[in-house]
Amino acid sequence: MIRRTTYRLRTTPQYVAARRRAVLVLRASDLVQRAATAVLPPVRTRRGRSGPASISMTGGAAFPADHGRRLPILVVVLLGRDPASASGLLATVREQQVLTGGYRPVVVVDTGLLPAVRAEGWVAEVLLDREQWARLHDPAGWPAYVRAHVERIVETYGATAVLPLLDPADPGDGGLAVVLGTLPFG
Amino acid sequence: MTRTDYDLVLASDLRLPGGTSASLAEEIRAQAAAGYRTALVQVFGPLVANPRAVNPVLRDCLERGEADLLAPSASVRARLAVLRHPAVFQERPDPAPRIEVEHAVVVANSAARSADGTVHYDPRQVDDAVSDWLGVRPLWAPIGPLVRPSLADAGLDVRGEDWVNLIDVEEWAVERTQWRDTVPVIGRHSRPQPAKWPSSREAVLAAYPVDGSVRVRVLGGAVAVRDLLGGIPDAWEVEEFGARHPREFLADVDFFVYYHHEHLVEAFGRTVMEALASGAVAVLPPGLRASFGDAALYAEPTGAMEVVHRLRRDRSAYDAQVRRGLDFVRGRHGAAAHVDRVAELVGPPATPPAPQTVPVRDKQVVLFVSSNGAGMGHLTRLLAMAKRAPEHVQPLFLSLSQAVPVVGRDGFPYEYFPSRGAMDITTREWNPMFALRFRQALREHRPEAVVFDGTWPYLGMIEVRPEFPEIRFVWSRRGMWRHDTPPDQLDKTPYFDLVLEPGEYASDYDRGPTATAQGALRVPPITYLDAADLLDRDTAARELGLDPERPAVLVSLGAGNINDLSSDLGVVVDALLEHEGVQVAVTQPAIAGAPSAVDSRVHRLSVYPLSRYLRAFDASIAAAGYNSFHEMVGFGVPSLYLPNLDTRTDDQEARGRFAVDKGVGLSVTTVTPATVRPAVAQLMDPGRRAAMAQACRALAGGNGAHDAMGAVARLLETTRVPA
Repeated sequence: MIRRTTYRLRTTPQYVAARRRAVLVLRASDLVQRAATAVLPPVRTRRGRSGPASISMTGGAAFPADHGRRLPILVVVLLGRDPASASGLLATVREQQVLTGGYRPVVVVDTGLLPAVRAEGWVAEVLLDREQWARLHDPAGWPAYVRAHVERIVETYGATAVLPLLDPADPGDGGLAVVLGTLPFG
Repeated sequence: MTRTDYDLVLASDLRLPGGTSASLAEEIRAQAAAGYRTALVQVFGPLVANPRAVNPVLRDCLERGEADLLAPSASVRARLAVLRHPAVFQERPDPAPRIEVEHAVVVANSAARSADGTVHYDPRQVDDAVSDWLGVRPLWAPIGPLVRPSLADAGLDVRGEDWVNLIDVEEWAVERTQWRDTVPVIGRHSRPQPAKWPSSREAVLAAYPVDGSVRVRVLGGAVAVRDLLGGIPDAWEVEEFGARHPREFLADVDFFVYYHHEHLVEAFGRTVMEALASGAVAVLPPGLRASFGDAALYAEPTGAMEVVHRLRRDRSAYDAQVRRGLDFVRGRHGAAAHVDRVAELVGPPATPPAPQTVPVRDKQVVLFVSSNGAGMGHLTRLLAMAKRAPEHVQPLFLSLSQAVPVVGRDGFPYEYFPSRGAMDITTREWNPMFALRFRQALREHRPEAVVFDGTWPYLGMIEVRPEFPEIRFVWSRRGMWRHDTPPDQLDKTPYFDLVLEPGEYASDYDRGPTATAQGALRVPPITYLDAADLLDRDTAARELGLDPERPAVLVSLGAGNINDLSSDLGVVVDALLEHEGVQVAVTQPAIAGAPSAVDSRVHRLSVYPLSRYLRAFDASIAAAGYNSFHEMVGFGVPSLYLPNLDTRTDDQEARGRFAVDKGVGLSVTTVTPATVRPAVAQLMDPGRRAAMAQACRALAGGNGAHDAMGAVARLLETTRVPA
């Protein structure tokens, strides 16, 4: 019953329109564009694919407690960023979230950014940064590590889009962008 | 297109619920363990009409890396294709990968037609479709003797031996030393279709009485007999299909009494096999004797209860029947039997798993997993241990606590996964998410040990644990649970190789379930720092901007606002400021809302670790959580404790009473100006403080973090897998 209801909800024109609007607005953001398009198509979206229904998690502090529990989930991958550059990106994500009322973010960060994300009330996951990974494993395996986690997050949260906000100045992130580009979207 | 070689390709509609997918999963696991490389093919058959995800048991196999899922565009070469559920292959699969195989087996896990003549599939048509797809004529293999006759006249190449289903007995076995109730407890588990029940009211009520002579438990719903019986009997205890794992259900019954529609050709009956593996005695219709032999007992529905009561009166006969069932399942349906039949068809694994490209690691990784909690106790205890890890150990953290960035200050790598509360979702949603996350951490980092600090070992952790037998699991479990805490968490003790119990100064006041629990290694109280790590008073005071010549009181209460006299913090600070010359230092997180007008005698603290500066203070006012309490007592700081009475398990009120009774501190449980002022007055009395400090010194011992980490290190030494 729940699955059927969710399926119907997700196929309503309003839902599809809201999701598309969120994605389009994000793509139209200068800041987001500058950050993301340098490395890969800005937003990878799930199309023509039936996945699990999204979980009922919070949309963050911008919404009332029970508001938007069925909004699409957007995975924001914010890795390799210093707190200063990340704060601008997070502000954009927040602003667009309010403007569109169209998504709930799960923010994937590495060391140091968790407090800033949690301050927004958003759900976050912290992964090892490139340097921490290299202390434990072959450094070349870091992009695959990130990809595996983003893929898990997409599947288990029931996300409908991934927005990689990688550091365009970091040549190493090109490799990460490539592997994120292989996620099962599009 | 890339070409990849596999030993086996298993094809079916992977979305199917029930026995088909469960059996497939068992075979995948057996093959992986034997070194066979397996690929899975999803075939969109006619049995599943609506969009549906692949069965979770098969997703788990893929997640564990026991098989690969082939894309429809793939082109692969394999030695054997096993196609399960012929009805899925009525037509040539489309879309489907291109598969070049040497042999193909169609596992017929249901009869081609029912006893009433209903046709489920046309074997000839399936044979043609499979031949067309794979380019070889398949060998047919029925899963039991009751399926075999329906294949006999179709001119097929039929394997002489049945392709019996597998089951891991050790995973299902339940200890059965006593009866479940004063009357026999019988149960049945099946999907909810009418065909899974007898067709007559008399047969149903004979096999599943409503007169109270037995308890009847049903997993899988009973809607199918509602019309037959005029309602579902109140005497039955009915749970819907999937309401809980059949293993748990079977553990609650003595007898598995299973009767189905007389027209149903029950190909094998996986639920019967599961019941036998769990050690329940199975009572079945005589028609199933060909499948289960003397592993079960047989009677018509009207005779089923006679069998049940006879064994209920004769425990030794019951136990003997349990053993027969277990022996049958182990011998005929174990993983080894499956590996043998695969080897018979294709020989040993041709593609032994490629050795993992393991980077050279000269250190052993220990994964410290902390739950979230009211404070930072879980994380801090683990940090205290990690800081004392020997050179050859590399600590790594996976935490549910938002305070996890403190781990980075000690230079340890960390990952964070949001707690259920942080996501604001239900436990039902969160548990499987954590299981996946935890499994991923174990697969990626391959730790030699996991050290979990928390009161509630998560379901996901318990579920995943058997998949990693080589990893040692340690539970750091402090005591002082509230007396009303359910003791059921202690039932998870067997999942851990070592249980550590961080010491508790107030243990004499511990009335919780752990106070009498056996088997834990108790170590002295764990604190982040040793006494020798603390700065001297002058240095500590100067670094905090305090005057070492004047009295200073530390206030560390968590949330609140010092200007808000309705908050505990406001009341406490107000009472302190009534005393001439006192300096009040409030921990930063406590100053929520950045007060606009703060008395100049109030200092904000934002240092880490705070305990390094404790000698700057003459006294403290703190909550009575594990960390604060053991640091204040252990480092001799006279304190007024304000126990948090809203914790889930931590008995802070008992710590407060202990402090008062033993003279190491004061305690106020109801915070009002009237209760706090006199307590603060006592705290500001130098004579009282001296006495409290003396009592603390008499009580304090060494730091248990050394002992705890030492125990973990010893565990690594004794269980290390040779390279």
